[in-house]
Amino acid sequence: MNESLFRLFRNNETRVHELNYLFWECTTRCNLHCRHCGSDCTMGGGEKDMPMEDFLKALDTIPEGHRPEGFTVVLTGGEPLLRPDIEDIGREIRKRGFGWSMVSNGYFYDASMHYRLMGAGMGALTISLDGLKESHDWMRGHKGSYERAIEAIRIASAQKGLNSDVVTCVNKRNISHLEDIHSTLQSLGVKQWRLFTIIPIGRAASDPMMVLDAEEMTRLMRFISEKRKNPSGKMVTTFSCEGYLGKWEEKVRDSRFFCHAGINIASILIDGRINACPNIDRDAFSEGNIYQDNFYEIWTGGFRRFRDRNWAKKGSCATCSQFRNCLGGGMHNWHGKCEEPLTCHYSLLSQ
Amino acid sequence: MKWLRNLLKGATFATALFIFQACYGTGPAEDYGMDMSFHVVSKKTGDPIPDIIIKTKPQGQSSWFEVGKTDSQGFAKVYGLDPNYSGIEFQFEGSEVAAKDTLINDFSKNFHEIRL
Repeated sequence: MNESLFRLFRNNETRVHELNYLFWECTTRCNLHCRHCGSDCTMGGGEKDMPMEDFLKALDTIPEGHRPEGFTVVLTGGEPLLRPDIEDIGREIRKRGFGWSMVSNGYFYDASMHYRLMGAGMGALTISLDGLKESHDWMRGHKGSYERAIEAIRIASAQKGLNSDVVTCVNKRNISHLEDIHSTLQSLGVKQWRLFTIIPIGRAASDPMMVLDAEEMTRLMRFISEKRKNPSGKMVTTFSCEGYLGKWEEKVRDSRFFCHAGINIASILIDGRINACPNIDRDAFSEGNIYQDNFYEIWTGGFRRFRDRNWAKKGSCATCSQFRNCLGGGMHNWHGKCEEPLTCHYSLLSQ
Repeated sequence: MKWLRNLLKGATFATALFIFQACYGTGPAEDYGMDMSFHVVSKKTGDPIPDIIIKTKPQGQSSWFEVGKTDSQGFAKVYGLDPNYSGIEFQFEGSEVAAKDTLINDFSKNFHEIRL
């Protein structure tokens, strides 16, 4: 699809703004201590887990006629598997006609857990793998987490009818290992490998190893592009939809850049706040709170800054020739007073 | 404008446009296999039995795995069962009842009353 037609599509999607993807930050507790964590999660968790009933009450505000086929509730955290009621949650979501999925570090994901979650109706799963043994354990802050993640990936990849994939946060330490990680994942039968880079928020903000420079970013684009052009197996390698990439757009993923936050995506955060993706600045962009507001009324009547991004035409975006394609990048790219985007993939790749 | 949305859907083969994936989220949930509901009651009294663990033997596995459990009214629903490869058995949780007390392989109906 060419750029003009794509913009027509994007503008129309924005006008329709059909909600079909809902994150629930069901816990901020986590068993690992990842260097790049955007949530800055801890084992104890800063907040108590939201009771399932509170989330379901918010979910029930979505009218029957507004639950399109494929609507997915994504359980995220923290580590969702630390919740003892995870299967009950899944069943209650399915009972209401929604699909559900989970983002996990895979540490607690063994065969027994897998079949219990499948029986509760789980339809998609993303597991994080941030390198080979040494670089993954370094990134995750926990020895032995690599083996556990690998086993989880093996189990999930073998499951028919589960839309599973693996995500890797590319950083200065693991960028030299991409070829080996690719081979490892392919041997495990992985269907899709999604690579992303970090934006400097949470713990990553103060870690110089996390953010790629221009040369490394270009190297990453070349790697993904090459794997897509000459796939050696069935696994699809792709770049996450996190920012506008200029000439690399159609070479590294299936579709052009389009931040769906607040257009198709909402989230319910641990403290009840309503936002789009959980990594978007909570103080700057939250639209309400399920403990005070009707969730679906907020979805239909709020989210204006997400649906009209002209406010982002400032700072380095003000004079950028690509603004109409980029619209300031992902919404997670704007923090605090939102004077300047945190990062710009396009300018980095143009250097 | 939903008509334009449908037109674009029809005019392109780019399904990825409509089946997107949030940067740090999962892909869309698949709805696979068949769902099955159970009501487990006592053969002797007819009373519902809670906490019955439901197990299946998935393709390629030699062990049985838990996929659900009856609620306080003896009801349970299990999703994503593969009719080609699954058998379903029941056993009392924590009891010493043999693993193959009740085996179901009739997938032509999706509600079963089980008498144990």
